[in-house]
Amino acid sequence: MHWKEDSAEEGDLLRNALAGCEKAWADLFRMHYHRVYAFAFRSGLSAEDAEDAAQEVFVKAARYLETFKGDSAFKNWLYGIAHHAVMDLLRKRGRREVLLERLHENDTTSKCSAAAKHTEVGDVLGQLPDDLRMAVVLIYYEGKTHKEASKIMDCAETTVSWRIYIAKKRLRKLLEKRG
Amino acid sequence: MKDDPIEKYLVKLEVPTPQQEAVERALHRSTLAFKNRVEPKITQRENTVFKWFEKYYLAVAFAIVFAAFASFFPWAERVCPAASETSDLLAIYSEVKMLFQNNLVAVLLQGSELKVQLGVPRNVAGARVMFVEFSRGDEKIKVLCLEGSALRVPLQGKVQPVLEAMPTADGGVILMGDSFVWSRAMPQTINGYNISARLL
Repeated sequence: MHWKEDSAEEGDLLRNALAGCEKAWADLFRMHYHRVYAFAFRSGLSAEDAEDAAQEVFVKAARYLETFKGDSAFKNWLYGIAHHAVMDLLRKRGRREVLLERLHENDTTSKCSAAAKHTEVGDVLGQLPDDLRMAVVLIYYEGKTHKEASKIMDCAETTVSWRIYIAKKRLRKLLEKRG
Repeated sequence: MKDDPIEKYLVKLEVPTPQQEAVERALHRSTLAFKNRVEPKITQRENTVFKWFEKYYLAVAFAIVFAAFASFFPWAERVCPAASETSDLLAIYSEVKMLFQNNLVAVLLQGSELKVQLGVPRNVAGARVMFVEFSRGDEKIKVLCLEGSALRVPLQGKVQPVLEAMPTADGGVILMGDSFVWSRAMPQTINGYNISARLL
């Protein structure tokens, strides 16, 4: 089977994992965990929720690995699962609660060395609606093309472009307010 | 790309390092899930039909049982087959009428053939559609026309009649030719064809 793989190493790992090799799966996990966790965090989840989301993504990915057809890169397949997991958690928790939690984290822990910056940018991003923020994260942080983002978010490419346009407009206004 | 102040600003968002414990837990749980992963049981070929059946088999079974029961009840017989035929005939007429507009005199149905009689129809306001059937043995010619139309029906035989189809006061139909009159009260054949007619 031929996949759209990021590297020959990833291709080998996928083949071995599909053949049932646990070590190959663990290597795939280590290769992609931080990426998925960062995506979940930037999408508006707290650090703890981002860890939970990342865990859920890999549990689902492991369970349904056989359904990965290779018509997209493996990491994009993971982003697709992550998108749903993050949206579910955001709905469950409510964004306001998450924002409060982030501010609290900033006061009490030293999880992030650049906490002040992280909180400020996170706050601004947090003021965007979920779908706009998700588009911004995929395009600007994860480096996806509009086409790739549209597949991950299960919407039209033009919808992604429109969301980015609106998100940038809103971010500009928010930044102006902050001086 | 990074000249955009928004992009420059967004870059500042740093991600805290996840707790090692959480990473290990996620690896452990995903490995357990990996051991119990779902094997695709359905081949691509049978996928669609089988999935559909698997999803809806209860609904299908219920529909079959319901249809079987329904056929035993008297109310099921209230649906008149003629009503269905009437609506089909009206639909045919209106479709052909849309094609030929004011040049359509009659629609003739013979077996699987559909023919049209074109001309200048009599323009009667509020005219209703009539159905006339000529039958001889297995041969059947069905005619759809507006009341007052002069029909030229290709009947086999010596006489090629021009029949005018008119409504009667009691809701029936009367067909009149040069030396020929047909009504339900005075039924007669023409070239060996039996006639039946009604308003639709």
